[in-house]
Parts: sequence; structure tokens; C-alpha cells
Amino acid sequence: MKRIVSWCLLILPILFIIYPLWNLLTVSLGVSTMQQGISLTAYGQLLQDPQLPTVIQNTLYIAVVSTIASLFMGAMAAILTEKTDIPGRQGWRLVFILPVLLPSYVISIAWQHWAGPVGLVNGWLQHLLGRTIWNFTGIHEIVIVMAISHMPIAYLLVRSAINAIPGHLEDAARIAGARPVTVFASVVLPLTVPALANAALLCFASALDNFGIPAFIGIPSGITVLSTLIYQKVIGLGNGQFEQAAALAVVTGLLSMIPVYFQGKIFHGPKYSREEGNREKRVYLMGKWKWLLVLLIGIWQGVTVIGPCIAMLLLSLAPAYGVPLTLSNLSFAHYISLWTDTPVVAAGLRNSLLLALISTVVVLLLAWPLARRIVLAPSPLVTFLDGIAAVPYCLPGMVVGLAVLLTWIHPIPGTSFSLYGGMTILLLAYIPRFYTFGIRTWTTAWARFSLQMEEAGHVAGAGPMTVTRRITLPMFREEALGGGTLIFLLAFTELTLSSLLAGSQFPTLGVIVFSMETAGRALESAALGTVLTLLTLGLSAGVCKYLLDEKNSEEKETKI
Amino acid sequence: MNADLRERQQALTIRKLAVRYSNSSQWVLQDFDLAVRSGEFVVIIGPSGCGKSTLLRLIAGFTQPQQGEIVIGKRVAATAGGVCIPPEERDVGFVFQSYALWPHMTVKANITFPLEQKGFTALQREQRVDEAIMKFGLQEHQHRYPAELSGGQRQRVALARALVGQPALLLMDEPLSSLDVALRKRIQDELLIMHKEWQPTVLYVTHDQDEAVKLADRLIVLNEGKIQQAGTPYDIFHSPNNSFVANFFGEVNELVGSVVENQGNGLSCIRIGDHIFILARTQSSLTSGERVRVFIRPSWVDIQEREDMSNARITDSRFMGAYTDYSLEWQGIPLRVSTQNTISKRVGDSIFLKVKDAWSIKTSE
Repeated sequence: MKRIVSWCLLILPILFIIYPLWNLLTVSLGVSTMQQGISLTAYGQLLQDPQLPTVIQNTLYIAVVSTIASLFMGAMAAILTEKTDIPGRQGWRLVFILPVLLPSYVISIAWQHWAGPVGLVNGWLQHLLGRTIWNFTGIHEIVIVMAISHMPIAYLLVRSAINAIPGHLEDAARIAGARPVTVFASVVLPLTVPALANAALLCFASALDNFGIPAFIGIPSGITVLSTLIYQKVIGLGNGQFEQAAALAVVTGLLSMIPVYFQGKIFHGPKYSREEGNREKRVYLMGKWKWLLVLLIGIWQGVTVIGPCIAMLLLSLAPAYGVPLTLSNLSFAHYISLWTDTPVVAAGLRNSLLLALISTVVVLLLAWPLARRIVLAPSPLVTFLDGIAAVPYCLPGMVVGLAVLLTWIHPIPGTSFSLYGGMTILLLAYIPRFYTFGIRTWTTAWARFSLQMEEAGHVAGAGPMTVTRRITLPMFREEALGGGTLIFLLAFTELTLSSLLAGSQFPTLGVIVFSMETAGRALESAALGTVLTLLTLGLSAGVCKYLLDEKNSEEKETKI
Repeated sequence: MNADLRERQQALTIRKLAVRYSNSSQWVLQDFDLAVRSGEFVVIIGPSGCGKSTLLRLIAGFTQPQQGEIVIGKRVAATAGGVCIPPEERDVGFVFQSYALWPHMTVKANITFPLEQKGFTALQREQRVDEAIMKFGLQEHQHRYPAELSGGQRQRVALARALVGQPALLLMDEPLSSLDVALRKRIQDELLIMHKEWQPTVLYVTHDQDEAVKLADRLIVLNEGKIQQAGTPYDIFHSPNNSFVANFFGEVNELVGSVVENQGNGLSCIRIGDHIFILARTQSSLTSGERVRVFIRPSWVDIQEREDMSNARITDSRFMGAYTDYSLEWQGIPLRVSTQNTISKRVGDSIFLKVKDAWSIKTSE
């Protein structure tokens, strides 16, 4: 049994992670199933593409600017909720992590109805001032939505770095004669720099990876980035397009390795001694300013998150596009028509639920034995497997999707059976993609777990299965629930992989929203977006707790 | 640190101090009075939760008292509901249990920081920091980061950082508790040398009685927010005020007796049980017939192997290395005794014991 598991741990990643990526590389080099030599034709054609420099420029511009904006907002938010005494901090924490739980395409829809060229805000402004003063379109809109949707990454990282600083370090600086402002500048800020650097890399990588925002905002306004270019090349499917798309995917993959490379180089941040059980944190008193701060946060969040969601909701209730909404003409017609007129929505909902459920269970099951080995019996092989598992998530989703598509689209040799078009190919992409989340879930749980608890179980006479079932798993319930819900949410609202892999017989919710938006059915896509938002919020109640790691924040706060 | 230039004045005066946490009715400290002379090494000892760390945080200015006042030097630092000078202006040094060295600064930067805040010129800073680095033997490590240092070295950096600004008062919160026994002993010696050389006024908190006895000029025993006893380590060990203090400092036999005769020279004849009469040191006010509590430390009893006389029986013995612990039955009363003498008698044998010293106090009821 143990041997079989060990072999599976080795063979499955080779077959389902390394092989598809290798296949992508060989296709890009023109080595298909036929006996051909390596050729760089596809890369050559790519270089001649007059579009490419603009696309790369767009991609980098969006990534850099949105990263800076996300970092700034995330750091501000973290300081405000963790280092000040503003009222309602727990509520603000939830508001700040909200955008990461919503699929980015839903935020795009919402934002367009809120602040787009014909959005709610522009309507108001036009009404008030008689002219349009707000005109964020195209690339600026992409940058803004990207910044909003990646802000929680920076927020969560900076927040946990701030909370990890032992209060004594700040006390020591006070004693040494520093005023609170100086303490903040000379102790707290420097200690969050590693987290800021990490957050920058993650935001940058996420910006390269993102498909939803450029697809929903960029494609209609003619702004192309690398991920949408790959998509268009694959969907276009012209002669030799597969090779070109593969070559483009390889280039994009290499580009996305830049942040990964830097992550290895980064100063990993201070290690605080573990013996100090004292994790009290110090909170700076804002006095009467705190009400002003709350007002500012309220405006900020109102403009960036709450407003857009309300705009989407209002639009979905309007009788027709462009008709002003009043209490009397409020209509649920679009919600009803989602179920009655569009059978595909119900199918999509079922498909997405099924996919998410299977992916979550399989990922958690497959990750368990590897995570156990990572924590208990680390070896170069195990570390290597851990690294391999992270690859499908570090690479942009479009690259992974294309690799999986190219590998499994052909009928299995000797049969006429093809995986394309059904659930299997989606699972073959989802499971490798989210595998690393499963590993993180279990390793975090293991790191908090003392092996002696298991040993005590063995000494008490329980066998390995009993110990796992009765001792280990119950103690991991919380982590498993949090990690599992996160994987479920990601899979449930997935768009990038499924935009390439979901055939017309097996559409996912993401794909359905996308096609509604492309078909110009704005009201219905707003209604579906609203439904998705509510579903996500309901599901994410558990994840919020997991992401915020309540155990830490419930600890004592001391005001200084 | 010119000790002779600084007048031998009070470095710290605390009057009627009381504090409790906002969400509890339990007093953490109550009716607390303390005066520390300049240059004195005062150790506050008590079990965990007795309020000793809270006291240091009050003096440092991280907590505001509900009653009483704190005077550091000649300046009122805090009064209940009134003055509260912030920590950065109190002129105190603090050595934390976790050292609290800033991990992103080198040893030298850590030590320089307090001087930067106090507005010394670059030249003065350089001079002072170099002197401190030299005195604490940190020359080789001055450009390293705290994570690269051993526990003992970190301890020295923390001390240098707390002392470099020459604070009026040095507060130390169980600074040695995370070190192993051997290193702790060595650092205690270093602390004593440091104290001789720099002569800072130190208020040192610990729960380790060996450490307290070794370091203190004056000891203050704290329990449940109240001072149980203050005095030299010798006084506290030999003449504890109550049974908490007696038990807190090592093992003690606690017996009940009554005064037969107060001899007036600090000694009384005391009867324990029905047949035992011993001579014990007493509070002078005791009168004949009064009920007393008698404390006899195991080392205050001598046991002898005499063929002609015996008044006790060995019920248990345990070899402890430098000495041997015996449990005796002394005319019906159990008694723990430790001796460095080698005794050939075994469990069950009879033996002769003689009480060399004893201390008695009035029973509280």
C-alpha cells in the first residue's frame, strides 16, 4: 500500500503536470506526433507579428501599475485594520478581503456598470454637471479593476507580517526614547518590507495570470494582453495557430518565471524567536481622527467595491438597458429568464458545482500523502515534488490550459475516444492547477500539529488508520474546511482554464457569463454576476476566517 | 556612569499604587509602596501572575495606574488619573524577557538607537556606543544581526542597549529565563560585575529564587499583588514574615507550637506537640502561652548517630548528590532534614536529631 502511494505520488505529477508542459514545448518547436526536427518557425512567425510588442507592452504596463496600486492600497488597509484603533476593524477586515473571493470577471462586470463609460457614476455626474468628466476606458479600466481585485493579496501578506511583530519590539523602541510615529517608521515599517516585496511579486504574477479582466474589459475595447492573445489564437485556430499559440504560451510562461526567480532571491524576513509566547500587538490610538479615517475607508471601499456591486445589482433589476430604475419598474425578469429561457445556466451551475466538488476532494486526497512526507520525512525527491506541484499555479492559467488542451485533445492512441469536450479534460486541468493549495492546506495543518499527539495515540494501542481517523483528521478539521472551501471557490468560479477547455457540451458558469457578456446580454450577465456574488459570499464565510486566521487576531491588543 | 556625582537619592518612589485590568474587578497590584535608592539592585520575586511584570510596565509607562503615584528621580512620572509621562520620556532602560532586539538592525544599530532618539551628536554617539560595545565584549559581533547571535550574546546586546543612554533606572523583566542553567549562572556573574562597574539602579523581576538571592541587594517578595516581605536575601531566608515567603524560598518544615518562655534576647523556648521543647528565634513581642508557627529549614537540623540516645526514626532517605535528604519521624511529628554528613543508618533505624536553628512567628488566627 505504502509503495503504491509512493509510486503514485511520483507518476501522477509526471503524467499530468510535466508531460503536458513538455508537450506544449515540443508543439511550439514544431515537433508534433510526426517525425519532424526541431524548428523555430513558430517563434519566428511570432516575432514578425506586429501586434506582439504592443501586447507585451500592455501586459507589462498593466502588471506594473496595478501591482503598485494594489501594494499601496493593501499596505494602507493592513495598517488601518491592524495598527489603529478605528471602530469596526473586524468588519473592515472582511470588506478588504472581499475582492479576492469574488471572481475577477464579476468585478469587471460590476465595475463597468459602476464607473464605465455608460456606468452609474457617469450617469450621475452627467446629470449633475451636464458633461462627462470621468472617462476611464480600456487599459486604465483594466488597471483599476486589476488593482482592486489583487489588493487583498497585498493586504493579507502585509497584515500577517504586521501581526507577527512581537509587541516588545515596539515597547523597546518607546523605552529607547522614540515617539509612536518614530516607532512605526523605524520598527514596524522596516519589518514589513519583506512582506511588501513578496506581495509585489505575487500581485505581478497574478496580473500576468489574469484572464477575466482583460477578457471582459480589454477584448471589447481592443486592448490585448498576453493571456487574451493566447486565447484568441487558440479560438481563431488558423493554420499553424496551434504552434504559434504554443510558442506564445512558452514565452508567457518564461515571463511569468521572473517573479518566481526573484521570490527565491528575496530576503525572507526576520525570524522571531518562538519561545516568547507573548504575541500581544500594539495598537496606535488615533483619538478623534479615527472617525475621519473610518469615513475615508468607507468612501474608498464604497467607490471600489461596494458601489460596483450595487451598480451591478441595480442594473440586473432594471427592466431594460438604459431605462432608469425606479421602485415601480423594478423587475426580476432577468433572474427568472436565467432559469427559464436559458437552460444552459442551470447546466453550467450543475457542471461548475460538480467540477468544484470533485476537484476539491481529489486535490485534498492526493495532497495528503505528499504533505505528510513534506513535513515528516523531507527528502530531495519530496521537495522536488512539492516544487513541481506549484508549477501549474505559478504559470499563467492560459499556458496551463493550452498545455492540457494540446495534450489531451487528440484521441487516445488506438481508440477514437477523446477527452475533449467533457468533464475529464477540465478535471485534468483543475486538479494539477489547484494541487498546490491542497498541499499548503495540509502542511500548514501539520506544522501546527505536534507529532507527539499521534505517537501518544500509537502508544495507546491504536493502529495508523485509527490514529489518522480519530486523532489527526479531527484536529485538522478547521484547516481542511478553510483550505477546501478556498479550492472549491476557485474551481467553482474558474474562467481561464475552462474558457479553453470547456466544450459546448460541458460549459462552466464562468464560460457562460463570458459568452453572455460577449453576446451583449448585459442585463442577464449582471443578474448572473449578482447571483455568483451572493453564492460566493455565502460560501466564503468559512474562508474569511481561514484567510484572516482568527486565532491570531483574537489575541490581546495593547494600546500605545 | 559617575556614581559619586549622582547624589545618593531616591531613584524611584512608588506610593499607594494600585492597578487592575479594565475588564476585571481583580486588583493586579494593590497598596504598593516601594522606594529604591540610586545604585541599588532590587529584585522583585514572586510566582507567575503575582503582578511583577505589570509593575514594570507601570513604571515604564505602558500602563496607567488606577491609584497612587510613581516618581522617577525627582519627577512625577504617573499619578492616578493625572500625569502620565509617555515611556519615551521617562528615562528608564528596559531589558525584556525576549530581549526584543530589532531583527532588522545590526548589533551596533540596536545599541545606537536610544542615543539617536535622545539627540546626541554623531561624535558623542560613536564614543558612547564604542564604549558600551567594548564593555560588553561585543566588538566582534557589532556588525552582525541579532539572528546570528547566541542567547548569551543577545542578552548582552539587550543590556548594552538598555544601559547606553545611562537611564536613571534599569528595569529587567526575567531576562535570563530563556537561557539554560549553565549560561544563566555565567550571565548572573556578568550582571554583578556590570553592576559594580556601571552602578545603575536596577529593578529586576524574576521567579527564580536562587537568582534573586544571588543578585539582590534587597529582595521584595510579591504575591497576589501585595508585598509579602522586603529585606536582604539573608533576612528573608532566615526570618520569613509568613508561610508563603517561607515556602517560596526553598523547603521548610512548618510546625505549630506555643511559647513557653520569651527569653528577651530574641530567643524563645517553644513547645511543639507534647514532648518537644526547642529554642527558636522569635519576634520580640511574643508572650508566654501564645500560639506560634515554627519554621525549621531542613539544613537547620543536625542528625547524629549516637548509640546512647535517639529521638527520631528514619522513614525515608534520598541521596541528592552534595547532600542527602531524610524524612524523619520526630516523636510523632514528620520532619524533613538534609545533611552533608555520611550516615550509616538506614530506613527504620533510630537516630538522634538536634535543631540548630528555628524561626517562629505569631499564627495569624
